[in-house]
Amino acid sequence: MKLAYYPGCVARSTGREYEISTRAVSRALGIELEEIDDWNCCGATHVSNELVSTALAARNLVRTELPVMASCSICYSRLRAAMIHLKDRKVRERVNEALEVKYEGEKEVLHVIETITKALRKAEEKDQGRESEKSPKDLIVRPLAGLKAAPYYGCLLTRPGGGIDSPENPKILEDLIRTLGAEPTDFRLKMKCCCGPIFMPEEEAAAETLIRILRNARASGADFVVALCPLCHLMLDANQPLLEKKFGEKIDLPILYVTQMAGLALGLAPEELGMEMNSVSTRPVVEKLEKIEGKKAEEEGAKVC
Amino acid sequence: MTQIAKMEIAKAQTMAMAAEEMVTNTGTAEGEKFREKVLALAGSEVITCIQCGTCSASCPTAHLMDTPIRRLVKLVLEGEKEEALSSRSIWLCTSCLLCTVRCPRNIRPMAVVAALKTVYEEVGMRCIDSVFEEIFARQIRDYGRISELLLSAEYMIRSPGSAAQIMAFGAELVPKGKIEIGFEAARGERIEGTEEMRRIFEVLGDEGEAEPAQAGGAEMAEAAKKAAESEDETGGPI
Repeated sequence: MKLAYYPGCVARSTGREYEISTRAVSRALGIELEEIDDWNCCGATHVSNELVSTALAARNLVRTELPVMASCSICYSRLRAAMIHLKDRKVRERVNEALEVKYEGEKEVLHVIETITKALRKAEEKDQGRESEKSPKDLIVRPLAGLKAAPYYGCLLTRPGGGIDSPENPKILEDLIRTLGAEPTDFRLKMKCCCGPIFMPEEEAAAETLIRILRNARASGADFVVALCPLCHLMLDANQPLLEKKFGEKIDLPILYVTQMAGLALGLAPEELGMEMNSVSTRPVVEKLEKIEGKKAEEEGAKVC
Repeated sequence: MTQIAKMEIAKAQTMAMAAEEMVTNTGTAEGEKFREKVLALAGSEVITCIQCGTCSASCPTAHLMDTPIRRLVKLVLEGEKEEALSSRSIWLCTSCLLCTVRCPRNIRPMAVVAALKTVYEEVGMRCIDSVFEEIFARQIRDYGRISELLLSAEYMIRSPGSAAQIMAFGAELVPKGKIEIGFEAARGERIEGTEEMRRIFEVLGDEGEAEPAQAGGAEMAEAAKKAAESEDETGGPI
């Protein structure tokens, strides 16, 4: 399968490990990514003029015939919102006034969690006798059994509504965590906005919310949090030492990108997933997995003897 | 809670609502123009708002707001331009879209906030948050992409109070190789389609109305950027 890849600006800066692990996981799943030529910023949440932000998204969409995959939930939401606006003929005409390549017809936009979920589901169909080259067992060579993951959705993966899952109480991430062999924790604040978009000018406001999200994830018994958006990740990971200092408490909770979690289960090495680039060390996650695997191997060895 | 206390609360609520009803500016030409502008930007369905407060109840930053989103919508419909635009609330919206997902009238309250931001910038008002948006938009227009280094640097120059926060973040991110520092990085990543970017902002942005005059800090930022781009003949932003 071949997809057009829209990295988004953050992939080239604070979200580098998201891009590294997105590419690695796609390769492992047999998905070829073709980066959109000369792509531009989606405008994120900072371009208040809707016509402008729609045109920014549209310029990216018209640059490929392939379905477009984004890893960043903000980019993904912006691309989806633009497609909704562009259904309106008047908006389309206005936007096309500014575009070199005109936006015509519908496009398909995917988030990386959708791509991973679909690829694994397709593999499952093989086990049910339908056509597919690989079964889930061929792909998930290192199940994450024994690990507990707090599924953090943030806001924009499912909004605007009408997308891949419920905008109120989605479960696509819990399902993926289970498919990969781990256990999702009961994480009450899984949909709480990280306040990342207002962090720069309104740090105080964001900090209060962030510490609540982290405390709640910790209390849910998670070994790590799974993030789907590089801004959520930045707020919970790179910002975590600053929050610890500010509130005078230790959190020490690794924040993995969904692609890093999936990559581990697909048997990729932590280095292939950029896991040394996370701010909060991801070693405890890998070490716990190794320990569980070691114990399991010992038990199995004992049985053989 | 006693019956009397409940009655007292109900009475206070009724009085508060009545106070809100008292003054409206939709009669004035200015108020009417403001209302029409916001409705044009955010959708005419905004007039069907029943003031149920679902948006405010869903808002993750409602507790920080001086004016709840529900009331912002009301202010718009009543043409209360000054009060609506001077509310800090419009800059505390995280664009999470929960209000929009939940609105029982299919209004997009977040789009009302976005429209207020647009009008705010159009009439030449300024605050730390609007400066951030302005820098953000201008980087997209001139480079096509956002460079964290340039964004942080320019924002820090224009909002010196943010320096400590940005430096602390930098100390976290630079050693991880996530933010590159140096001459090449300071130039920013520039796409080939910058002409098209400019056209998007010119043709579709703010309906051709003039940009607000730049504040004093802008020249400093410009000078800093020019220094970083000394080889670049296309120059800085307008």
